[in-house]
Amino acid sequence: MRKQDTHYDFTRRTVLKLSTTAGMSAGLSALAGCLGNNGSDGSSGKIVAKDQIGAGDGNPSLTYWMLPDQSHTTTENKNVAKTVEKFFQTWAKKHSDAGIQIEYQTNLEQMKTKLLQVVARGSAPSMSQVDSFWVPNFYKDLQPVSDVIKNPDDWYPFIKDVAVQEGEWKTVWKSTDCRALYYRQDLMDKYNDGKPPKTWDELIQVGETIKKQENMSGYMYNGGKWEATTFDNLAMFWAQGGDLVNDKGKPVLDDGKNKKALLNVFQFFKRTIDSGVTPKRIANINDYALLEQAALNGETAMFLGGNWQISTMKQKADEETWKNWKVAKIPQMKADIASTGTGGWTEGVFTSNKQKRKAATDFVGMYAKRENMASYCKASGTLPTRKSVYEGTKYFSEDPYMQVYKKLLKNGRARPGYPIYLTISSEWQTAAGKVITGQASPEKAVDTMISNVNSQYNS
Amino acid sequence: MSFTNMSLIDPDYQYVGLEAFQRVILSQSFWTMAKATVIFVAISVVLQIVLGMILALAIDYGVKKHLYGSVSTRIAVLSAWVIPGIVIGILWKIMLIETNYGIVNYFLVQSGFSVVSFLSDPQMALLSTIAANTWRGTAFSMIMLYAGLQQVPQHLYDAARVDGARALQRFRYVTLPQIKPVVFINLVLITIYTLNTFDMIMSLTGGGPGHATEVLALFMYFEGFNRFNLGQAAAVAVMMLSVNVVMTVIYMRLFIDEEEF
Repeated sequence: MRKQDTHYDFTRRTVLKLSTTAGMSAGLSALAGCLGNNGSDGSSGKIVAKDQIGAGDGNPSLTYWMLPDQSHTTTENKNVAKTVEKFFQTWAKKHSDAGIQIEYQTNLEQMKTKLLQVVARGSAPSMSQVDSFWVPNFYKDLQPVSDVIKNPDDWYPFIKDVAVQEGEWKTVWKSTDCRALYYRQDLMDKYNDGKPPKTWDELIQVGETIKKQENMSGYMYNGGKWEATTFDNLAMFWAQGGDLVNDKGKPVLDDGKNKKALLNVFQFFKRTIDSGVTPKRIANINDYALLEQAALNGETAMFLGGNWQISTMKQKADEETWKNWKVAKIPQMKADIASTGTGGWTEGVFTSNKQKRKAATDFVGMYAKRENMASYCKASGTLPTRKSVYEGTKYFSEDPYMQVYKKLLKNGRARPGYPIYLTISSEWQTAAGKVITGQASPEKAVDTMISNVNSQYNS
Repeated sequence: MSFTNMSLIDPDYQYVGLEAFQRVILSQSFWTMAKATVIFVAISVVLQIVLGMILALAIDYGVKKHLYGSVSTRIAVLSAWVIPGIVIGILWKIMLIETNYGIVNYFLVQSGFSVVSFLSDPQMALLSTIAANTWRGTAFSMIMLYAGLQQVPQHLYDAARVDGARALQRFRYVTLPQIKPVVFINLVLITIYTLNTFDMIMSLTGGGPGHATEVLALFMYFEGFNRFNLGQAAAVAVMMLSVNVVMTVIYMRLFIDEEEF
């Protein structure tokens, strides 16, 4: 009897349990399916997972070094994530048998070192994001991507100077940046006929007036021990026709015109400090945010900053404040010369295997397409490297700041990507620090800098 | 590695004997940095020992007298030691920033003084890094010396009191000889920590202005990872190791009696 009851109960419970379990399983399966196929393309059945694109056992199977903040997994910028994911989906649809294994590089400095090491050992990834500044270090190892560059003349000259080697495009330079003079329009209206200074003399003159009348600094720039102290101010050296290295990467700072141009820049630094237009505290400014802070706190009328800063100023200040800040070309020794430092990221192919190379080139080539470049640069807040993007896309053509950057990029120049540049930059920072703080005269600082750079190169 | 011309960007290298050492020593900036390092290490170590001792004695006194706050004081002081160097550098930078909104300068301006160039004046920048390093290192020194003070038998103090020794004399003739081995270990460790300080200076001043705060550890980093000269970076590391060993031997001679060896 008891057994029968038990049997009856068991059957009923089992049915209930089974129904519940089946229901839950179906729910979980659906959920897992949704999560597992996040970003999947229904028609091709390919997945875009965190670190795997396309088939896990794909043929060919590519490896890809990627920075998280430029990937489809970034949580800091959802627009970048969506744009990159779309690129992956398009690629996966086209390459149904292939796969990409993503290896995230979380530390920029380590990435550079690691990439140098693996390339030197012959075990480079199939493709990698490469800082535009590193490109010349990898000329030997980067595979040509000329096939995906459809209209070479549409790219800015500074892009071609670096990306093209012996007639071949070595990398796809997907986005860039530039340096510019930020100035307060209301103060220029009041003290300089509404126009920003074009020359050093004008800058000092208007800066002195503003300092006297408004009790604030006239002009600020990066002067601390970091790369921007060199890179931002190199525009003043380049505009005079100065060169840091020759075609073979040998430093040429002690050549007559280069040394003169260098000395002029350091004498300008001294003038900014001696005239009181710039505060000495710039010797410890090693973050663009500090310049922004000074600008928004009403401490300076002008500063030398990067193109991306207008958007961060927009986020931090009310509309009236940020709109009062305009951008212009960097003041130079003479009004008719111009230059600006440009950086940004490229996508490079390292694999020499024919099949892999084709698949990798197809992927990096996506960034070269005009519409893709526009959507990526818009999402990431960077500048396009193709001139036509500034005209063909509303976001760029209707923004007055973008139109200024477009003009500045015509005189854009990238840093020489030879190892000696790091010494030049480090010595420049030291020399600038010494001149700004009065530890050395411009002449002595320049002589020491040149001597140290040459000694390092010769060793 | 220090006997090679190894580079980060070239897999090939040769053994070049002492050439890397020679290059480092002949470099103009090396001696400027060596001078900054000696000043930084010497002042930091002395301050950490002295302040650590004062704090340890104060806490020991507080515990013995059952005063309130001795535990919270230890926690507060130790918190400085557990914070990563990079964060300490950023914290001090925020405090010393040279505008009215820099915390220290704000109070100075409010008190009628003018803004002080804590980080852009070469001498002040070195003093600022010493202050930040001392703030961090004093906690470790304090905890070591406090542990040493716990080992001193109470009856020695009682006997000294019976003999009429005053507080300073008890410290000089009872406490110091008893905690000499702890002071030795403490000195060795804080000298090593201070000589190897890199992260805090990197985020506080980056070694500038000029070379004003560029200590040898920072120089080694720049040499290896900025200029890719692994051989020369290794040579600097070996030189730093040698300095640490020499300092340890000197401390042993000064603090440990021969029979204790």
